[in-house]
Amino acid sequence: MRIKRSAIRPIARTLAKELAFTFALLVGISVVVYAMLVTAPNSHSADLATARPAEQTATPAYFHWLAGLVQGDLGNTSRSGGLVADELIPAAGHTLFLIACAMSASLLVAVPLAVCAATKRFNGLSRPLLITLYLSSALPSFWLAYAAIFVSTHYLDYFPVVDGTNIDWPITALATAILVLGSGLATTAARELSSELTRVLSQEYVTAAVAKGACLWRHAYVEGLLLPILEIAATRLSHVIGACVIVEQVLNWPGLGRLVWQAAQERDTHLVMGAVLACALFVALAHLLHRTLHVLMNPRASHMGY
Amino acid sequence: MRTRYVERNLDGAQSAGQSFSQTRRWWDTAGIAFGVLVFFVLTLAFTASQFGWLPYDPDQADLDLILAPLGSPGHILGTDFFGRDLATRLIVGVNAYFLPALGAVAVSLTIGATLGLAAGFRGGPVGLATHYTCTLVEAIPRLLLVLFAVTVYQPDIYHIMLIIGLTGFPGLATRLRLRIRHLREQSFFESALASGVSLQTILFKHLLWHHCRPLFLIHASQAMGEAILFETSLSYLGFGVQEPTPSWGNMVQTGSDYLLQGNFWPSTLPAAAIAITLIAFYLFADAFERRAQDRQNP
Amino acid sequence: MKGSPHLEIENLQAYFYASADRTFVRAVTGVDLCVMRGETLALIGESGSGKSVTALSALGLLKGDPGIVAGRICLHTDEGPRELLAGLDRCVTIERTPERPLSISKNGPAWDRQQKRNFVGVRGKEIAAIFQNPRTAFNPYLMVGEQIVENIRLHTPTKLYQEAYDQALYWLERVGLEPAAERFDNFPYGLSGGMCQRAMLAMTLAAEPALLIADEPTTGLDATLRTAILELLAELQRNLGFTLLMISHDLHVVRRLAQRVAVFYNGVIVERGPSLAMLSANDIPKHPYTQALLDAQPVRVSPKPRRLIALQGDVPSPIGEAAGCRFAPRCTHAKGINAKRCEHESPPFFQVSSDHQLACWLYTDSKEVSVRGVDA
Repeated sequence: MRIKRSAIRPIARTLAKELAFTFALLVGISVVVYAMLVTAPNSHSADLATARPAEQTATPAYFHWLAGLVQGDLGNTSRSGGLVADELIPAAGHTLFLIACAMSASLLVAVPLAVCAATKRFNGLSRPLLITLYLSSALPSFWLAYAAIFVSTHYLDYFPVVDGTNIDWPITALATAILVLGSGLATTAARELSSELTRVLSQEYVTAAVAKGACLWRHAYVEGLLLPILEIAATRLSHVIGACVIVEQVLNWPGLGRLVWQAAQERDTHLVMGAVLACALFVALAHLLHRTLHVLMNPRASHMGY
Repeated sequence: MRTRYVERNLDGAQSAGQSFSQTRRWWDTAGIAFGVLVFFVLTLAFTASQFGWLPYDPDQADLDLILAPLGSPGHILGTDFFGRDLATRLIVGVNAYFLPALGAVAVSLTIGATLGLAAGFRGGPVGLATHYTCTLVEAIPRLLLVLFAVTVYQPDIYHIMLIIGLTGFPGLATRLRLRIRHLREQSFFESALASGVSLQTILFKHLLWHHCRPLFLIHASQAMGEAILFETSLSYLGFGVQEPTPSWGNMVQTGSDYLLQGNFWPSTLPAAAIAITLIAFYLFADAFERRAQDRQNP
Repeated sequence: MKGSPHLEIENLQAYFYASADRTFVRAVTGVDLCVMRGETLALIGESGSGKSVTALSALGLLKGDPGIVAGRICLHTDEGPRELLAGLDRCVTIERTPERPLSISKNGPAWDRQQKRNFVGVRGKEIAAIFQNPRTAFNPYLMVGEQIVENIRLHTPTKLYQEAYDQALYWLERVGLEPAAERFDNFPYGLSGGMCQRAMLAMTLAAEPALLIADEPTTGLDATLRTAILELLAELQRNLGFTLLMISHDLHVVRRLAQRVAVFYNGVIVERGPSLAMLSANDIPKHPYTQALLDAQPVRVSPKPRRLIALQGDVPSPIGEAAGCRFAPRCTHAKGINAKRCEHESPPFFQVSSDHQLACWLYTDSKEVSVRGVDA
């Protein structure tokens, strides 16, 4: 991917704008979360990490709280009294691993399905698979996980639930989680990718490329596959994180989702707040990454080329 | 795999065999019909549970008939582990989400329509503000936000659905904004303005009603499905409707232990109900989207 | 070899299925064409008359269902003749009446596979094409120069990147895009329409094709650019000697560049012959449609003012029956006693001179001529 020397400045300008937007986004998220904390009806949630005296108005307390956030101080959990950050970080790591596996697996399935649908080949194979995926994505994940456990224990002799809090590579739990998490994503991804692909394949530059004897995919893959995959991954990330809560609860996977569920049951405000902020930060950064890659790959996005 | 094209428009003998687009049109009509049917059934269930026209009392435990299988005499869908009739509990379970989900749909429709229309029509800073708000709302995972709200506020199901509605507008707002921006650049818009039609009429009658009506229906259908999924998920996790009030979500949860033992109907029936409902709403939205697209480019 | 047939098209038929109306749209119904090596043949006609469909079917680029259903296209390469529509009859079954098809059954995937086999080595090397809208014909994600280099590396023995790069710069200069090194780095949307058309010429000609199809090359350009591009095209053809099959609806363009011309109307060829004779005001017999085209042209320099004669009526619908001469509804001669024959019987070709024929009842004698009456 060559970049013209004269294009560096417009690209940098666009990226700076995206960075500023993400920064504003993070500020906005913190405002929303803080507003929810402040409007809490009971004092239990109101005694935040700020430990502010009662006479202080809300605004300086917000900055006090924000300063603590930036330094990594998310407060203490009400359960054990330890730091929220200490509980969050390892759990977040496990969830990240789960999400990465689920998303890559579903994309690996969705891309060939989309190609089949767009080129109208192998319909005999791809259509039934698409329908199965569609049905399994409509089944609620909390039931699907149990059904998978049932099938796994009774017919395959594996017990896919994670035992305790140490993970010794429970492949079966991972497989089940990927199945449950990934089916919904695979369906939406396959559908959107196939519609994008059909649109791109009917573009004139693709016909012109075929007319000169070039390989069709070498020209169509950027707009038809790469950019849409990036967009799907970035937009569906927050949905997948939400679905993780349920899947981790069923499979006892020691991730962020299960942590949040336990904390919500115990009304542990600080932990849930920390988790929400961490996930929102992650999604915002993923969004920024997506925009950066898009700007780098699409010359029109930053008006480079003049 | 041969495709057969048959001349149908002129009179003459029509050979058997459907053309490609006819099959697709049938499929779309079926999807829409299915969606309407399911919604009708849900409304029936809701009315029935409101007025008490139920075969059994949902809380009446018949300890002699625990975990009766499907097709038992008197209990078509069997009973659960307390001997309560599953069919009745399924019907009453609709109650848990019906009105709140409709409320959530209404909220997200209103907000999405306002934002989308304003941003698409005005552009500029309003557009940027809408884009910012939509990205902000989409950045926080909805389930996590709801769990946070549950921790902080301890809301009832109506307030939870209010939050779902407040976070459900970005899809509609973005799509509506793009569509209106596209329509605004069409020449029919300028000619309507030039012939003296008032701006309000153009906006509401011409743009929104004629051109964007399918968008609203599609969004309403998808949002309803999402709201139902959220309510059942929350009930499953223990934060929504509490036992003994039945909700499809908590029915799955309480039945889940028995699923692993082999009695899977108490857990599977509500899950199947959820699946059928979701499929109906999504099929409806898809079919409508395809019909709208076909009308745009015949 | 100049003067021998290069591309022969026989009885080409293409239909599209309008699913909304559930009926067939006639794109091309029985077209015969023969392009000689080294010459410029122009296809003229209104939009929808089938000229693009005919030309694009020579490259196998026709989209739409069912597309080409019958015919024969023979390309005479240096290695011998190649049938580009081989195997079509195995993939298509047609039930028809003499006037219209009733049902067409086509095996799409098999035909695609067959086409891949038929067109090996043809696209880009033997036959190349430039398109009407040059800015959308380039891949927007790649630099213009990169796309030229790709074409060079695909079809010429040059395989090293540096050599291909130098060649691309040479071609960019050849078509008048200077400074070539800067233009190489441009993306398509950064070039104007005229520059893009030149770049497209550079890209296609860098592969040294034997036959170039130009699909309305100047229609999307400003009038000032048109002459420049036309002169460039003429000069390149003179120097490189490729065969040019040009599609246009502008008679000035055709007169400037083409030696022979074929007039399309509603999916058939109504007249073909030398362009100078056909497209000038003289006494040589012309098809009424060609005459109408000439009459509607504003004359630049005229001895006395002449009213522009507009053609009345609309193009007949390409749906449904097609009996009789297609031009009959609009023809000023198809009145009175001629009307019955013109509307119900399709006229055969009448030979005006050795390579000029037209299909009109006005001129037909009792002599029947063969449809492909071009002397080799």
